[in-house]
Amino acid sequence: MITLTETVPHRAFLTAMLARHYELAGTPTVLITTDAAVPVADTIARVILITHSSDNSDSLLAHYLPARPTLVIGPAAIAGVAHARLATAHPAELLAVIDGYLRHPERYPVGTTREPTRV
Amino acid sequence: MTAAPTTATPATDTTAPDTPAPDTAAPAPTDVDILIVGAGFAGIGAGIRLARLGERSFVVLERAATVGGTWRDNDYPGVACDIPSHLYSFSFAPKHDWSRFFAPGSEIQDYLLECAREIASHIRTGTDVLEMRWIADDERWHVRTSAGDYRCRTLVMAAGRLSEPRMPEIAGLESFPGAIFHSARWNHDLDLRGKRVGVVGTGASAVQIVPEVAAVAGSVVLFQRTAPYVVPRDDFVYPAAEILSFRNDPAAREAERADQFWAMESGFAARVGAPEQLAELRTRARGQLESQIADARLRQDLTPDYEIGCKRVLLSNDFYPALTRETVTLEPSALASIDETTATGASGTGYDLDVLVFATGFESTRPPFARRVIGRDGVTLDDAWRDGMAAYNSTTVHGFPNLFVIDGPNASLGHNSAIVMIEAQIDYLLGALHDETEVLEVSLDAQVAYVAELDARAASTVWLGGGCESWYVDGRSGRLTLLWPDFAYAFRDRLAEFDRAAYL
Repeated sequence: MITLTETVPHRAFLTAMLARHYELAGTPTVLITTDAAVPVADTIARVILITHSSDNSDSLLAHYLPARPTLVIGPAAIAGVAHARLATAHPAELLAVIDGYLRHPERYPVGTTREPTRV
Repeated sequence: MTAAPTTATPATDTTAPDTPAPDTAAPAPTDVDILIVGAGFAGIGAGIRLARLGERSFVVLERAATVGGTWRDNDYPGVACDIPSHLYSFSFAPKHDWSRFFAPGSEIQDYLLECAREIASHIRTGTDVLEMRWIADDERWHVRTSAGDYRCRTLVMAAGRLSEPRMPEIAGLESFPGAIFHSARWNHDLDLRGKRVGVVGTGASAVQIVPEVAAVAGSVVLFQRTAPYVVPRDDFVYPAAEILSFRNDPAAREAERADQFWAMESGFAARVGAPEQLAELRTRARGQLESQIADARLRQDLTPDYEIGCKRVLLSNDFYPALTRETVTLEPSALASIDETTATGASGTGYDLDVLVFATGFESTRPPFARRVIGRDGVTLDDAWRDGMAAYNSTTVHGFPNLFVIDGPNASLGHNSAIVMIEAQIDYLLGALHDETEVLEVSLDAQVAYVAELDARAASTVWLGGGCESWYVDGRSGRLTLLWPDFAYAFRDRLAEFDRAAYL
């Protein structure tokens, strides 16, 4: 039910680790991508957009909003969606945020930023 | 070495100036809200967090003469941590001036002594806990110790997993006329210069001990039952400017810790067979072996016959070079028997020795303290764990109300810092205490479901499928009972909130 586009960083790592707990085959319902303009299938219920961009303009998410609940992972918060920032570039931290959002989307309210968890 | 708290054999140094002294002015209470057993990382950490929340009615009982647990007991030559120092310390008690990337054992012990000062008035050293019994009518734990009795609502076992040295049964050992000791009970009175020393074991302690002993002993024989994987130890001294930066800028220190944590987290992927991570780890280990061991026969003997990660991956730059010394012999089999001064390996080769050092690990999967904990129905924790340790959220046990076990079943890590796990369990404990329910007992259903979930996760790990025997696995059940079979972040997330619904 999770699909990752080709450009997602650490894709092999994320795919292998997510496959331990989530269904990756079949009709996708969650899209993980780096491309705000990628076509979103009707079956997609949630989107996770990974970006290094500090562009926080609404246009970035024009393709998703307000149709899909979206989590943006990157430096800049964007109005109208959930946002999470990373402390490092390590793949495990990215995985932790994706995993956390998939398990507990309620912990990522729209319009708020979830700062990196202190370890 | 890795860390865990311990209540091991009393140390002898009672006069050390840094030893937190018990507050003798305040008589020890017999009634306390919370009683913590063990003053290693887990016990000290739990005590500090309780104190900072304003809790005053708690004690930390420690059977040794001073605190420190593993880092008090393990003071063998060359002892050091194999987890980065900024990560191998409490997030709530940061230290900016760690001397090295991997701290020496003595520096970690000094850190723990400093941490313990904050709760010195709550610590009772020289207090051996003899029995902990839940009295249902009283809804309290009754605790009998060598220094008086206690009664408490909440019992926290922080006795650690590296507390009790494991000594293998060796035929004829009693006939050996020389000194025999375990690595966690190092005999500092013994001068090893010129001696013929046998070292038994090739785990995390042995790879640190062998280079040190080889430098002074007349000869060394290393008895190797199983070859370890050894990767380079990328240690360094922190430059003064960096230490200054950590002091002046807490954010820089926190960034260092975060970087270390998430870098190590990725290592879990290798334990579940992620090809890229597994290949990288293998390459590092094989590259080190090939570059440091030129002799083909010795290299073959040092080549593991199981998948990397199945046993703890060791860090050392000087272990292999030590084995190439003319005075050092690798015996590629386990120590099988002793006949006076002759120690014979399973291969049949004998060696005359003056000293035997056992670096053979600890009783980790069957902790001795469990025999002293008696639950609701008069059952000991050891009996409840007869098929292997099990607990809900790795912390609470059905049949043992108001008991919290830190660093117990499935709460250790093979790829990251134990301190992160300990802190997660302390958070869970604090959440439970905040719940203010008089008696908390996890339901059997919740515990069984949790254990089944972990067993399922463990099935795909290298720890069960890697073709080795390790101390992570309980020999009675074949279950992975020591390690958390997932990322550390998942453990922390899971224990972040106390889940009252799982309790009766």
